Amino acid sequence: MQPIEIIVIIAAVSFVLAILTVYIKRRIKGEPTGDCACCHTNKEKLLKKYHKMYGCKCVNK
Amino acid sequence: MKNFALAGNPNCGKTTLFNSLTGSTAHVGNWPGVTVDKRVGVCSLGKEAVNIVDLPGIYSLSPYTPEEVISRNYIIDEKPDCVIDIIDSTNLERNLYLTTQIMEMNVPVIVALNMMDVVEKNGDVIDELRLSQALGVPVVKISALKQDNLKRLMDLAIEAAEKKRNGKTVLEESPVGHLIKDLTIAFSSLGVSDPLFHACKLAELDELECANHPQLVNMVKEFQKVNVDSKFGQDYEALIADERYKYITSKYAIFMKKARKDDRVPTKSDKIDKVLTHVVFGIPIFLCILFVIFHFTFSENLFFLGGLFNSDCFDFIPDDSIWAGFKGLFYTENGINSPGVMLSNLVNGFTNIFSTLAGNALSGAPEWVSGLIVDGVLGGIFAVIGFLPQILVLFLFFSILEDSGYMARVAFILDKLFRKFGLSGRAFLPMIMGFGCSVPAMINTRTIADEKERIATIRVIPFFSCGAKLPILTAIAGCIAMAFGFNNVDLITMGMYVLGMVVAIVSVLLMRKTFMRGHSSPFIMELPTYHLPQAKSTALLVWDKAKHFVKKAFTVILASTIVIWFVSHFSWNWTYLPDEQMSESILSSIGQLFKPLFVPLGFGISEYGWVFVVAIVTGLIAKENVVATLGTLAASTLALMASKGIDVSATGDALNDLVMTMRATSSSLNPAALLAFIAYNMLTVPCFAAVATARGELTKKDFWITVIFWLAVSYVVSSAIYVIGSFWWTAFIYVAAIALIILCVHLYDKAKKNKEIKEANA
Repeated sequence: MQPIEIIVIIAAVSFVLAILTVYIKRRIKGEPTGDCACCHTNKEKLLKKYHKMYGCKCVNK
Repeated sequence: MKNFALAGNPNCGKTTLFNSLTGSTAHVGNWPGVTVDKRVGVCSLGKEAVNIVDLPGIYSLSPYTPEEVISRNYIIDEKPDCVIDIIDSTNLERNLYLTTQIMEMNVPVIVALNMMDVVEKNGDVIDELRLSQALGVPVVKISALKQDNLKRLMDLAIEAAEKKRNGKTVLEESPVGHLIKDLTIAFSSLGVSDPLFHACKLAELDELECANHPQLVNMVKEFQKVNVDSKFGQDYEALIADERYKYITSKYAIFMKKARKDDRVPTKSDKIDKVLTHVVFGIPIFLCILFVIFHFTFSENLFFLGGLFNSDCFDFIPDDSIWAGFKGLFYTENGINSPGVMLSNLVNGFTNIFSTLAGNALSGAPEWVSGLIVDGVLGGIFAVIGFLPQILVLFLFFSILEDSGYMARVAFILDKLFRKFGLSGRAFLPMIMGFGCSVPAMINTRTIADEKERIATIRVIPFFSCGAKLPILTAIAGCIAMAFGFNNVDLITMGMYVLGMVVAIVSVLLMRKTFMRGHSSPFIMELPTYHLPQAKSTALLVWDKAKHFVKKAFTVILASTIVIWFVSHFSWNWTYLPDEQMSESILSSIGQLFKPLFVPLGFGISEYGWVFVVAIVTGLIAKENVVATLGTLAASTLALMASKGIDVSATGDALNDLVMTMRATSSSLNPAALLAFIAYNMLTVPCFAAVATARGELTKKDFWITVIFWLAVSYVVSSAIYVIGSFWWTAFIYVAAIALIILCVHLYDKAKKNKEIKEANA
């Protein structure tokens, strides 16, 4: 087996597994999996950025 | 972090303000009822960062619709630090009606006079200082769209949030003022927070208040017995509404000076509406607008000018060059390309170069590696990406229609037609959203009060072709044009869109006249004024669409193409199969198993029809996968056909070549079979995300009925298309069958109506 074959197999399998894992994780957590998932991720990122800036751990009062 | 709530009437610009404050790209529509659930974002514009909650638009805090309950419960239960009450300043009096109710709560309030740019353009003036003094809360003039004065709004809101505020009512001097005072004392003694708000609502005999505090209802009933109003009698809800409006007109509206004294003079919007919402011409005008949009997006013969130019401006490019993909970029011998086709050709030109370069780079690699990367992954992804420009052009046009205020008029035009079928125009608004994506459209059906009408609407939403289905329409319409010489791709795509709408209307008619009978709720909607589409909001919508599409292409679709290529090149005993032996693969055997089911639809007859069958199955993950699967399998299937001695077409487009070669080997693969393939994909079970949303919105029983309904409708309609398209005389049989069904439904409906009348009389 040539090195390129090993690289392609590992890359393809890990990519498919990563996509599947993210999907299953979202389903278990009850998070959106369709197009709305992007907006959900953006909100999380924004909150994370804010908490980092102000050192606050709670979202609500 | 402080929590601020955005409250206001529908279509007053809450979501626009939310997007401006938080940098979000939430969908904004120029019609009431776009937001049906609360949405949270962070705003850092003021002195400190705050959480902003965008609430659904409401006219009052009475629980008539689910959105009103969401907004009311949020303000009462979650206790935001401040309520930013957004007012459409062009309609001050009506918007202040909600303000008078919010002010009855013990919560800091700030009034944002939105759309001030329009007010000033009309020459009207609002004295914000005096209005603020009269209301007793800060008032700020803003323009959410132009982002004017937003920092001042946030600074004042933060200041207001730091002070305590007690509720205040405009009903103190009204005939029910005494009752409200007594009820406030009673609520206070019960330890209820916001006693004044609850007192005002109980005086109206609000359903929720009566249910929550039955012990106090008698106080209102006793008061009603001795205090009968001369105009409204004992209808205190109407009396209180009238008192609120009287107070607003006499004490608050005086601070707005209008430039135009006579309201009877028709505005520019009224004049346009006379034409666009005409009782006879309204629907034909809508169809004409739709055709123009499809013509500019998909036509390869712009303005039907035909082949004006004999030679291609890129004729100097040799056919074997990597730049050959740019040939026919602007025009062909058939005619001039529309902007959508030009952009699509441009993208396809670059993807061809990339595929060729990748093929050259992998020329020394093992056959399966080059097959997986070039034919499988790149073939699949580029087959989908090539349609991105056309999707964006189409959505740009739809966004312009929506933003200008025309789409809201379409709901108004269709209300009359829909009402005959047991639906209100209100149901059309989620359907419009269905053109973008079925998921938010299904959620938006929460604005429909009648449950049966809501279920019927959810069932037909996937029939309104979403952006993900567009590549299927365009790719297969392109194949029909190429293989059968029918060059009006725009007519095919528009015809399929209209087919979806017609099937939706017929399905609703059958449901509402038989097992889902009920009265559709009256449709009252304030038509927004026409305005020029805002570049920013249309650009945001197009950008959002492009971002989602590309992200999906390089995640879900990429993963799918890898899996599809593997299962199409491995046998059940995990042995690698070259293209020539693909018919022994796992995928082929699965496709062959289900292929007989699709024989009545035409595309299942051909020996290689299993390719279409597996494309349908992978389309359940995401509809873009249908074209990605065909793109992934096209090159391998062509190689398989060539190995069997079949003369394979070689136009350079693998999907077109596949269809043309299959057509040459099987007469069953005619335009009708390809149209049936498009129709089946359009009408069948939508993608996983939409199915999950439908599951969330419906009961388990209704959900499974809905899935069966999608499968049955798609199968019946697609098989009818194939049978009528292939054997024209069968059209008479179908017409007779349809007439019989209409007669049966009519008789059933009549019998039911008579029974209902008898029951009512009894």
